[in-house]
Amino acid sequence: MKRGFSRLLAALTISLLVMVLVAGCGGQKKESAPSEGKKAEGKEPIKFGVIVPLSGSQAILGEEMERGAKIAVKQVNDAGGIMGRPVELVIRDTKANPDTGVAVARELLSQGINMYFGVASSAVALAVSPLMEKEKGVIITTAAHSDRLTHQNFNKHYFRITDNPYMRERAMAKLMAERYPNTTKWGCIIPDHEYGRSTWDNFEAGLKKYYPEIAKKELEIVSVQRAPYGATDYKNFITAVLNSKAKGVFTSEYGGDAVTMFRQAVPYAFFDKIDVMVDSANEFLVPKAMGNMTPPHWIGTHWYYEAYKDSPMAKKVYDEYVKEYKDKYPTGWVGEAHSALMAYKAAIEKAKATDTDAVIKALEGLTFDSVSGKRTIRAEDHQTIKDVNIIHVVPVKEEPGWKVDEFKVYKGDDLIEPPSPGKPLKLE
Amino acid sequence: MLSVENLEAYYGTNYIVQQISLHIPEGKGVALLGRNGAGKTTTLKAIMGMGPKIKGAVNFKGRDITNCKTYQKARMGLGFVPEDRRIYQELSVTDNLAVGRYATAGRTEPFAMEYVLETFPLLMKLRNRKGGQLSGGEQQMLTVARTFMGRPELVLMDEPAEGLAPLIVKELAMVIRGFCQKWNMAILLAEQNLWFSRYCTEYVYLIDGGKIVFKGSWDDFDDQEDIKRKYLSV
Amino acid sequence: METLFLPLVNGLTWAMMVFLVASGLSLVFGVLKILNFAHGGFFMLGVYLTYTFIRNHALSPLKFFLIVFLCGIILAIIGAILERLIIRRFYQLDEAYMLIATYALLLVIEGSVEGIWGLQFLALPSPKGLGGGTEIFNTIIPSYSLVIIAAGVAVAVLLNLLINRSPAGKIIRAAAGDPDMTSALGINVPIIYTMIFAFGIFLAAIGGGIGAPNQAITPTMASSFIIQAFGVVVVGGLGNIGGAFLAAIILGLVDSFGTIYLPQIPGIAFYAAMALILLVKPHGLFESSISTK
Repeated sequence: MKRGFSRLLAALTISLLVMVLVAGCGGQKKESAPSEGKKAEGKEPIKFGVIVPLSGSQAILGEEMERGAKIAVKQVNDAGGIMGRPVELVIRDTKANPDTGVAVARELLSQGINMYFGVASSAVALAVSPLMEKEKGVIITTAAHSDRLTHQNFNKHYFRITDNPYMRERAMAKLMAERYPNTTKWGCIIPDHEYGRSTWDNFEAGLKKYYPEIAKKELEIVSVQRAPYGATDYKNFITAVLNSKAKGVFTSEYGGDAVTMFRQAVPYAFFDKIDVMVDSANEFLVPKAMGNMTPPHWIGTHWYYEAYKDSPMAKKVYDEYVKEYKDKYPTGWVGEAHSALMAYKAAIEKAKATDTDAVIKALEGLTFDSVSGKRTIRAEDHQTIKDVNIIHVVPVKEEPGWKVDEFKVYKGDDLIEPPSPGKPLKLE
Repeated sequence: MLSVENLEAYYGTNYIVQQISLHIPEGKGVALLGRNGAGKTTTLKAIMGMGPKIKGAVNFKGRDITNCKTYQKARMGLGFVPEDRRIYQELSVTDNLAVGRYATAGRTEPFAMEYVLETFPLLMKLRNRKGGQLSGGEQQMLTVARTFMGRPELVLMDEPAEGLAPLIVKELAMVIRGFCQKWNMAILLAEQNLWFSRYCTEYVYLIDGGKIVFKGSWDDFDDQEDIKRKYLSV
Repeated sequence: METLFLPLVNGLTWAMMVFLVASGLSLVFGVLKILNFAHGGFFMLGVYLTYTFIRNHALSPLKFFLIVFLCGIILAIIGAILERLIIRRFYQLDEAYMLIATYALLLVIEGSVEGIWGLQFLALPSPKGLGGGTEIFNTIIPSYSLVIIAAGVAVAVLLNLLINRSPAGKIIRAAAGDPDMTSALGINVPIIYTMIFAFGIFLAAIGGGIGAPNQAITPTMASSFIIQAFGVVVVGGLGNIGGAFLAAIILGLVDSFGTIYLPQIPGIAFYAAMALILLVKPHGLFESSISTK
């Protein structure tokens, strides 16, 4: 009896020690970012809740958002804060899980924090948005792309600072019709869930609109491959697309899955056999992973810094990122997190208040400066009208093995869908 | 060769072996007689370090082995034949025997497989049969042979005759005695079968309720009718 | 013919990859009677360690496999140390504690990988000459898929030889079936436990190294592979390596052909097959081939 108990104690102690080690080591970041910056001090800080995935498969997105947020805070505080008050971030890990997202949001709401930004996962956004309405908070999401958030699931406490699939995919489809008029057979490999399907539906609608309009050609969709969520092997889908003789291929696989799919396509000489590959949203993730194995392809991004190198704001953010993180390739999520804070700043200064209703009112219809030029937040559905940035990457010999050899910017005004808050998105 | 001083053995808080002392001289056979539950098996396992918590001293070949690990005791030449046979069911007879070889590591050479198979005639024709396919008697032969493969200098045997047909009991007794005589092997035999014990050993200890209640030669034992009646279910 | 051959190869490739991971898991369970939750973590470490040595260079196949082997050895040594220091304290306790301990170990491994290599996804080039396609039966299949299949089969054959036909295998099976009696026969069972645990880690690690060119390298890859490996081990019968091999092939082919012929409900064929097999044989296809009680 005594022996068993001391063994149990040993087991629990070891497990506890190990978990403490983990928490200290890599684990989760839970500390607030102290208000950096010299000019804004002494007055009571304005706090923002930053809820992003810091662990799990979307951790790299969360890390980039956190970096963008921190850069924004530093710049704002260096310039005197918002209405003379320093800005403080309270950062929490959503783990890209709706329940966790809601839990951490509740935690911060109970502390009196009413303004939030972040969130990569649409599932998390769909869970947190109604919570904000209920608890009188306001959230600006910096990546979540589900159409529903500004349509059937819309509520006034939700804002989207990024583009949406309608705009993004339409821009990409337009670009395809402009550049590859003879590529009339298209296929796709998409994840089989709401985000994957909606991105493809929007892209397909765009193809069907712009190919007849711009390329004066009829389009044929020859292969739609839906990969189950969590799939680790894409070869069957890759070969199905090749067999269909599709010449243009679209994918909205994201993160590690996209890298796996691209990597598994290489031995098939996949990219030699097609005209063009379109990646809906992975920023630099695939090129950074694949180095000189990167195939030439187009990528939809939230923000490509080179396109705005004449903008002092963009340049400052870029320089700060490179200096702080020793990485020359900030992804668009950095820009979106930064833009969220810029929007809040402009709104608070306009309303001269930080309470939720005043901020919401000020954000609606707000035009403000961002790293990708001027953005306007549409009053009806809280969707931001902004530039869509599309880049083209190619492999090169020198480190890091790839580069952006061209980019295209589309104005959001031309591409955005008519607002229909409360109603599902209608595709022509 | 093996000397046990004031051995105590516990399972949890159950005090089973209560200050036992035994001495087994080199090359000689000693029987440990007693009823079911008297503490025979626990004594053997205590010596071998295979279960109970022990106090006291166990000396083998002049060394204190009380705190040695079981496999170390085996390699020193202390063999063990379990009560419940514990044959490797999926291994063949020869493979079972082969596992027994390793007790000779660093000490001596194991017996040749063929020699052991010849000496245990039942096993020869079963050599390729899987352990699990043998009858009870055959398994008993096998477990003895397996331990003997390791050329032990003293074997602890736990009721090897239990449940065996009389003919097999006879055969087994002859094989064991033959081995002991040829290789100067000592044994400590826990048994209830008097004939088997008498055939294989020279001395007797009687255990009851975890205590030694008699020790002496077989002649001494025969002179004590009341002891036989009292402590054995004869 | 072509339409059958491709999913066949893809299914077998996936099957062999999962088998490489599952074989170590099954072996450790068969002998030590423990389910090592951190097994996937060592698979992942095998991937990352191999990447660290190779980076973005396409090496000759010999150099590549030598490095994979070396990474396996390094991690096996770490595994042996872990067994001696931590794992063996849990053998006598209830299984739940072992699961907790190995799960905690997995968390440590995941945290360490994130801390050392960061969150960025990575990819490894295939060995020189094996990065393209081979044409068989008029279809192109990735040459490296053939390598993975060959590796899986080789491991299965070698493990079978080791366990069923070598003297060492007999000792292992003896120690697995009856550790106490085996100790009484003079065999140092604790050392065998250490060696088997380390060998299981070795298998996981080389599974990682061999499989690394086949997918993205991410800090969360431990979880995805370990779930599939557990599935295969359970369906094959805990402790039966041949069963794991067969189960991997069955499930891999079912999944592969399922994506072709049942595209409307992706993934269903795999789970249906698992459920069906376990309904008929709740303990898996075979009994443990290692512990010979």
